[in-house]
Amino acid sequence: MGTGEWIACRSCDQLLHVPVLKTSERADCPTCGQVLSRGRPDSIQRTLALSLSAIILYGVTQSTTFMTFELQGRTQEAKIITGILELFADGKLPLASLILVTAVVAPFCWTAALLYASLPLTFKVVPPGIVSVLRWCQIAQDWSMLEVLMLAVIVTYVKLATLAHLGFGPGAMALIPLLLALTAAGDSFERAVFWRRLEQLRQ
Amino acid sequence: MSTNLRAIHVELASCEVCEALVRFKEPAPGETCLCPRCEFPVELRKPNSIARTWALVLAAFVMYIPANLFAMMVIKQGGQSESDNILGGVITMLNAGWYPVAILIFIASITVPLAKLVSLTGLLISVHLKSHWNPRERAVLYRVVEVIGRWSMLDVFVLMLLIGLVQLGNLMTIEVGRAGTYFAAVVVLTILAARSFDPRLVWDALEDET
Repeated sequence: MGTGEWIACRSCDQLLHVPVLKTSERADCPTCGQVLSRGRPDSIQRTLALSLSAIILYGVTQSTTFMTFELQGRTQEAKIITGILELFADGKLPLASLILVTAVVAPFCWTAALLYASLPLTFKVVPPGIVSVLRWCQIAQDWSMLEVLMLAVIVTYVKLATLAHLGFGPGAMALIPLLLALTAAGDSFERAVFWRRLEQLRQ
Repeated sequence: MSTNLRAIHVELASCEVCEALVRFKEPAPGETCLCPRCEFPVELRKPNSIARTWALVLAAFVMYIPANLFAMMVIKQGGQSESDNILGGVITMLNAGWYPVAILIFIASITVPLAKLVSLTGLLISVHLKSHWNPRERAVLYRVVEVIGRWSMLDVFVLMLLIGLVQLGNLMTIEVGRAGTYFAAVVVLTILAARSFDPRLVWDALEDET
């Protein structure tokens, strides 16, 4: 059978043998077309590099001025958290919590989980609680929606541009490379590679 | 390499967390079958998938109505207050000549949630009827539903940015309207509904009569 492993397609339950793939190869399910596995031999190192850059950019995006708004000589600066706090103060708890999770908490948890898993595994060390971290990593990724926020920035700009003078702070500037790093990190993270490395290290 | 076997035929379950193939033994009541690799509970199929998905889809349909009827955004300017629901916001954008943005918001806020709900309803009905119609296309439909869901957050994020920016007291203030909470509910419910549906049921139904 060679190297590789037997898996069941998560979309149609077909039993399949997936070989270890080379870089940029991809295995699709012959029955339903689901992507089964992507060739990312250096998944762990790449994820480490990208999640490290992402966490720094995340810090800049969240902690600095995101956008500025100027109307009749009055200027207002806002971070991402400003609007969320305003919503909390206004008593809109469900809406504010949803935004807090999707724009602040989940992106951080996702990036931190990738870093926590990839850094020790690169140096062949099994970090404590790695199994839970890998599980929560998936859930955090599902709820991390910064790419939608990026589009929202453009829409907001268009909406307010006729009304007042709008400016972008360093936070909004950092969002662009942050998204590039996060997207690339998501692409380089191949769970099968992480689990295989973990199994090897445990033996 | 493939066989004609499906995992369920040979009592193998796929671990949702680490994708390991696990020999599935029906656990005793009160116990669960654990994955030997990652030690998380393993099931042959997502538990109560159909009932859960129906509940979430119906709840989302109900929330979709007030989310679209009530005001999403209230603009207070010089003592006057003006409110817009989602469609109103799209029409305002159209009148201002911002066609691409109007179309974008219409797709993200109105079309995407509705398309998701209609698609999931269709998938649920097809599983109930044990339909043999194009399982591969239905598998693709499900994957599309999974991917597009997040984009309905667009209007919510726009609202959040506007509220953070436009707080100039009497000059101009933007507040969120009553629809905000309902809209958040639609987004969360549709995402949970998509996740609770088990796409393998589409293929299980193909085998029931043969």
